[in-house]
Amino acid sequence: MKKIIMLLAFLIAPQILWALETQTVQVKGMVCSFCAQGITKKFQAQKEVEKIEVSLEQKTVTLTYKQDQKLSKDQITHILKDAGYEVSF
Amino acid sequence: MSSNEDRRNEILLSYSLTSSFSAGGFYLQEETRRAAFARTNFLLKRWNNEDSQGNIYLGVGVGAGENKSNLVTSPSETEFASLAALDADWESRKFYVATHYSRYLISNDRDLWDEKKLRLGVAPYLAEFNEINTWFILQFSQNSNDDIQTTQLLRLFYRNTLFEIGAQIGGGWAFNYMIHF
Repeated sequence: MKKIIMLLAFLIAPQILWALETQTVQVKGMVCSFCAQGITKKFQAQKEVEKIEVSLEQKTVTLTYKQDQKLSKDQITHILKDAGYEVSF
Repeated sequence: MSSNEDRRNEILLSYSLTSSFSAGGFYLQEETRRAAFARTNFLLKRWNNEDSQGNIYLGVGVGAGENKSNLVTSPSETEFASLAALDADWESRKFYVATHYSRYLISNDRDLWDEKKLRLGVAPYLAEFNEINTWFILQFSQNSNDDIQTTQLLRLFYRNTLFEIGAQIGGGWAFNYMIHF
């Protein structure tokens, strides 16, 4: 039993350690692929961001952060404003 | 970005310095005119709504051009040229409306000439970012006092690349493309 628990802990621990933080933001005015492309490009330039997923249906951008890194709400608002859009958290 | 019809071609290369200002070059060629401009574009106003977006743009340019009844048999001198353009659009994921007005001047023209355009579009399905977006567009355009020309266009775009192919009512074709880097 002890060996099974240790094995499970061994298998689960990396998943917990490697689970990167995500944040989803609602973007006003993001209605087409060109808009999404521009927004994606802006976030790709941020060192904190690992991955960006866009949903035009939900009008959301989901950011996956690198380990122990995150953008503040002010930073996200500024980035989207700079790209010509508005955010609602 | 390039717009092409059987008797008209134009190409615009512009670099966005900010989300509301871009600068670049614009070339226009018609049957009896051709001109190249250094052009700037300003986003005057944007409305970011929950499900739609509206924009008003102003474009101004100066350059050089020539205007002759027949450029091939009677080459003309290059003259100062200028342009001013106003664009307004509104789009959701399903509908699209755009208007365009531009006014050109080549110094040796007797008159200024202008160009008006109205576009109405509908998307047959709602596409996601990673899917091909399709639009059916009806365009009405008029150059100065010529007859209004109606063009039906099929627009396809995927991520940063857009193509439009069209047929003009009464004959003629249209092919436009745009790439965002």
